[in-house]
Amino acid sequence: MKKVNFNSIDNLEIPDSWVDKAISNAKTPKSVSVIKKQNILAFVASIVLVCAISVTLFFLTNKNATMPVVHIDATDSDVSINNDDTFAYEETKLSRLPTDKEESETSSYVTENNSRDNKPALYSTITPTKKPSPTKKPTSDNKIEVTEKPAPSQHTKPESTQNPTVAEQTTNNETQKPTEAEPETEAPQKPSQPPGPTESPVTELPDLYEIYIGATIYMHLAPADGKVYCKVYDENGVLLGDPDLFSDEHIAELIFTSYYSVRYYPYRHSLINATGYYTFVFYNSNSEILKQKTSYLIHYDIKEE
Amino acid sequence: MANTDYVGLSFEQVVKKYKTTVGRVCLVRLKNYADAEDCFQNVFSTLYTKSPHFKDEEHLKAWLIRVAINECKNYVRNNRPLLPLKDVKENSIDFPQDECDISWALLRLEPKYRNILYLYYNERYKIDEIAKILGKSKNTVKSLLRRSREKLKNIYGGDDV
Repeated sequence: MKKVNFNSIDNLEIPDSWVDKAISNAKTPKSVSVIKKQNILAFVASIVLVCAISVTLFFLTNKNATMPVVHIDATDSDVSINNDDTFAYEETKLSRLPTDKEESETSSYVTENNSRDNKPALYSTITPTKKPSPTKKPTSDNKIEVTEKPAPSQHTKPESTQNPTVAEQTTNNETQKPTEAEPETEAPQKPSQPPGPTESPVTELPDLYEIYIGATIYMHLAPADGKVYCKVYDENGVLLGDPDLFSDEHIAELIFTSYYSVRYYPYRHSLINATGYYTFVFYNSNSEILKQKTSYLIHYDIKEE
Repeated sequence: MANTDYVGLSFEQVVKKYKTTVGRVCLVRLKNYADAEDCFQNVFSTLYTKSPHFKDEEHLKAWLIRVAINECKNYVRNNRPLLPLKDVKENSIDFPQDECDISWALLRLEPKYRNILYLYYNERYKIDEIAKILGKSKNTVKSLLRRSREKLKNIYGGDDV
């Protein structure tokens, strides 16, 4: 039986300068004030951060809330603006499409007889209740919602009837709309699609994509205690993170499938801040090197969900 | 303000008396003179500013060890130095691989095992005392001590430790 000891640790000498510094540092009020200053700074910084986050959230939520408002305003502007390509106008045109469709489906003469005589009658009949089209399908729900919107435009009609000639002209102008919109009426039922947002440009990501975020090694046998540690060095050989191997941030993930694979994700500990080559050295719990690997990592700001 | 009397000792006397204990705890934990010095200073500045009431000197010593361990943990957590490997090697404690002296092997253990072994073999604390200092149960300390011996044996490669 061997007799072992830890005499080297017992022989470690503590320099006297440490004692002098400890005494002088403790008695100087600076150390206390520094701590207080740090606390105050941290407090102020946290308040500023919370304010900033709340303001951004407020604006973000408000943006979403303003969408329906834009929608409603657009119906009013529909009367005066005809050839506007704005989102709001398109939406209102879409909302009016079923009526035009009905016209084209139920009778061809409507499109043919876009004459002045028919216009008042047409507008008088473009109400949700007065157009009970037997051919109409579930889109009638949409119609009801939609036809509520043109209500303001219907209000404008009686005003225009005060001057019949003007009324005719205006109806002429307005009746041109359905004819102009005919190509669109031939298009498949757009109203069933949700408006606006689908047409806005969206940055599309592929369904599957990979971000190279760590290093993986494979082993036939797992270490006895199931623990593997990993240190990461950058291109200059500088160790990233805690010099102590057994720190939490160096613990690698051991996964068993048909063989053992050890994965280490340095981004979880914010160790990697730049793209480049990194060297991963895997150790077991006895500080013995298992494997060494150099990988090219691309830095991303990754948020785990 | 700060209490000037710690179980009959002045602050200077406490620092001089327990400098080795606190210093070694920090060195064993951090394996680095520069970092250990920082923690050493923090331990005694905490003692001076908090100035808690101690029942006896053993209580004071245990408190200092507990605070030193916590300081080291916090230090490691808050300071993630990006030191070149050369500097780390120069500053770190390096023991020769002696047949009898296995301090070098102790430093290759995980910190929790290092603490237990150091307190048990170097500071000669009993298991229940270590349990109080570390805030763990006796059984936990016992199992940690057993595991740390096994690990030490693996590292050292000897028959019995």
